[in-house]
Amino acid sequence: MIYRLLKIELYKIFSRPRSYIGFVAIAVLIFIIQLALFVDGKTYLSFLTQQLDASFFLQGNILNGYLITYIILQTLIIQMPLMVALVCGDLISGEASSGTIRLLATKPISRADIITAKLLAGSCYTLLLVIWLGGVALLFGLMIFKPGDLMVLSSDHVSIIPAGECLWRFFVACLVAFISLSVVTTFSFMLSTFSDNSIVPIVATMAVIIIFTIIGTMDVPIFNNIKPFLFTTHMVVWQLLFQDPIDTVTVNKSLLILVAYCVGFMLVTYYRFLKKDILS
Amino acid sequence: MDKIVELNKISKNYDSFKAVDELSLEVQRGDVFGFLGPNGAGKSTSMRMMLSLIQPTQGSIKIFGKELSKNRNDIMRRIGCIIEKPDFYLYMSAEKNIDIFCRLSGVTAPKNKIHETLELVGLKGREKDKVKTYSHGMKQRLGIAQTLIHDPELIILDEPTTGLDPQGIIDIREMILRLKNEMGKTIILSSHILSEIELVANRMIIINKGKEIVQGEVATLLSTQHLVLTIEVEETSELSNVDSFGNKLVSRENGKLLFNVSREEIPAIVSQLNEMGIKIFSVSYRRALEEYFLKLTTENYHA
Amino acid sequence: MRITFPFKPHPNPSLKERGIHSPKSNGLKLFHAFQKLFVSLFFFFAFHFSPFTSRAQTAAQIIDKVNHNFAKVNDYTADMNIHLDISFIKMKDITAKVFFKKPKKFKVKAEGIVVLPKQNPNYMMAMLQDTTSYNAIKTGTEIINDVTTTIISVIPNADTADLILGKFWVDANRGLILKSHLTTKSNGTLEIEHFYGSNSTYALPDKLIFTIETAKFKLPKALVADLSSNSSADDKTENKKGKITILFGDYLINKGIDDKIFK
Repeated sequence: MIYRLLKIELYKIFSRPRSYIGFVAIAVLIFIIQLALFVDGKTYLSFLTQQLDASFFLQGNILNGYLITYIILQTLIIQMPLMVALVCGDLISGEASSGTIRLLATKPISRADIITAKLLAGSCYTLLLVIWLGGVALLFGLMIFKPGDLMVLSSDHVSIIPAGECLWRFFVACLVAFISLSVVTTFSFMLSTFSDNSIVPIVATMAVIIIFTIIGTMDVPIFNNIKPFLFTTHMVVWQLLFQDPIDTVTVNKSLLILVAYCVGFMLVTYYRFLKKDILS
Repeated sequence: MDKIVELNKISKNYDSFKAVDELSLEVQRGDVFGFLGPNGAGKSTSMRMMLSLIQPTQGSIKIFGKELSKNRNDIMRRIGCIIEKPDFYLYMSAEKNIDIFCRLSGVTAPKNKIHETLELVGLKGREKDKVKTYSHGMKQRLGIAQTLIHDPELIILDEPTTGLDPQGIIDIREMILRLKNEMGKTIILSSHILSEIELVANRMIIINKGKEIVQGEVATLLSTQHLVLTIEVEETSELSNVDSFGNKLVSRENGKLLFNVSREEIPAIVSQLNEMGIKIFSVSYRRALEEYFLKLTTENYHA
Repeated sequence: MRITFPFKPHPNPSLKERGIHSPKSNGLKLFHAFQKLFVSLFFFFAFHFSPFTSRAQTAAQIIDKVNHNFAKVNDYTADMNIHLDISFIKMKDITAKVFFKKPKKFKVKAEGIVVLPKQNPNYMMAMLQDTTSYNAIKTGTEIINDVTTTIISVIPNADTADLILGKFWVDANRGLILKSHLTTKSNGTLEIEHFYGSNSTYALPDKLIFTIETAKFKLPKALVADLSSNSSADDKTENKKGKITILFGDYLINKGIDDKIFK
């Protein structure tokens, strides 16, 4: 039954024009970034590597497909929550506002199955967005800029990942980014069970992410104690996949926190929807 | 008789507000059961409880002889419904909507069955159009198609004629009668218009403020044995000489005489007034329940 | 791979050697003068006609010998393995191929990114070739790896040169630089240890260890959208020394190289 429901939910998601906004926006942004880097990438690169250039002789195809993909992921993954919330925040509340929730909830399907199918559909959508982002960026990046070692600049160090290791790292990074975005999926989905219109969950999701991000960015001592517990702090953990060696302890810890958030949001969602009187 | 629905003292409380208050009713197989009440009487809440959209605060619901709370999916598989208004995925075609709701009911309907059902409700030729292009009447008919597609035994229709034009109302009414007479469906429908119920239902319940007012056969409840007769007359001194007609005259105000009578007694009363030389301008009557329901609706409207 | 050497501190020249005398009597001064002359004459005769002739070579002669070795190289190619030991650069060893052709054509080819010191391995050799552009002075001796080396300081004549001071520890017998210490305007101080194998006759090393001053590396977080790193990480990367070890192998010397390679 879940499979049948999932197929229906996916069909519903992909029948709506709004579901394609994310895919189109990502494709357009990737095109713009790649075009900009193709035209003026050397200036951008020299700006980034000026400190290294002072002490070292750097040679090789630094501005390669992998670096372009990394830059795109770094730039766009922070925009992804909006695209995810746009669809996942609407999964229940959209049905409530359109009234179809009444029909859905009178069918011979348990509410737990409805939630599970919708959650899986939301997760599939999120996964597809991440794959689309990584795939399109990588495909066109490699086509236009060719492969090469990936130079990853952090605020206090530089990692150079051999080209041969980049593909699997991007693959794992996309999986990790998917888990990070699943927090947004489950959070916006949870909020959608509390509202009868889609705007509230979408706006509320973004508001929470913005607030958490600001708290995470500000160097105020009082915030330092709560920073490790904010999911936004761990949403950039995919970047650690591009360190050598990979700090698996930090990655695992972050993933654990992110999964804990997902489970917490899912439990609230199930409890809320199973007990909910459908009045819309 | 085969009981299809049994509500046993069900209540629904929202904090201190009682939306439904110890309501009990029975619907037999083959009934068209009318759920009548003014707006806010608790009709929709009761129907939603029957469909497990709302959990009752107390009481039990049995459908097809089984406890709803324990056999929800089995029961829902045998029910088709429209609650309040027929809502669909506007961005999909009628055909796709029906297909989806059919699948959700656990049945995969072949395309020709979907087309037949849409034809039955008069939507032939519009199957592939997106629902957002449909009028309210067409959506309502699509709603009926949606309730029928998985061939349910019980159909629950919450105010199915709301917002329809006169022809739309007639179409729905005819469709309900066909469902009952030709397809043998049991139907529960709610309305706040008595005449609508009267035209299609064989049994009915009137509720107000969540409580049952009266329940029974429509023919009995709306029989012509209990009429409220209104005779508009000329206001003269002769009126004071009019006797109580054996306690049948209940009021005489502003030139209007109100009687509680049966249909057969009307001619005698009219001829007696004529004999007394009282000029009669109009004679009208309403059935007692109709009169009561109108009063109820008016009170609720002003409240 | 990290190779360290038991560097010995430079022997401090005595006060006498630096021409500073304590106030003593004239008789005593005369005695010391004779003593000094005697010792000098002893060492002159003892070493002038002995196998330790290098002691007698001038800085220019020693450099000529170094240049002579390298002058035998018209071109070469070699495989390189570069190992970085720099706190703020995390990368695996790099394999590359190096191409050199007289007088200054130099090219590194690799599949990936190559990080090398600013001065390429032939930087000093090429610089030393132009003997008119600097002054060379012998400034002492030191034993490196059981080899007595002559320390030669090189000071460029032109103010415009990037090099401020070059110091070379030269195995005068073989005409090989075993260590160099360069102070440049643009890149601060750089120390290079040279290790030779079968191509020592061409002054081509098997291994070079560059020790460089690395300034603190810091990029604005806004530029890199970084994970929140704590402030203690900053201290670790501040002004440390870094090492780059280059291993050379499979030298092909004087086999001819097409100029196209350097384009």
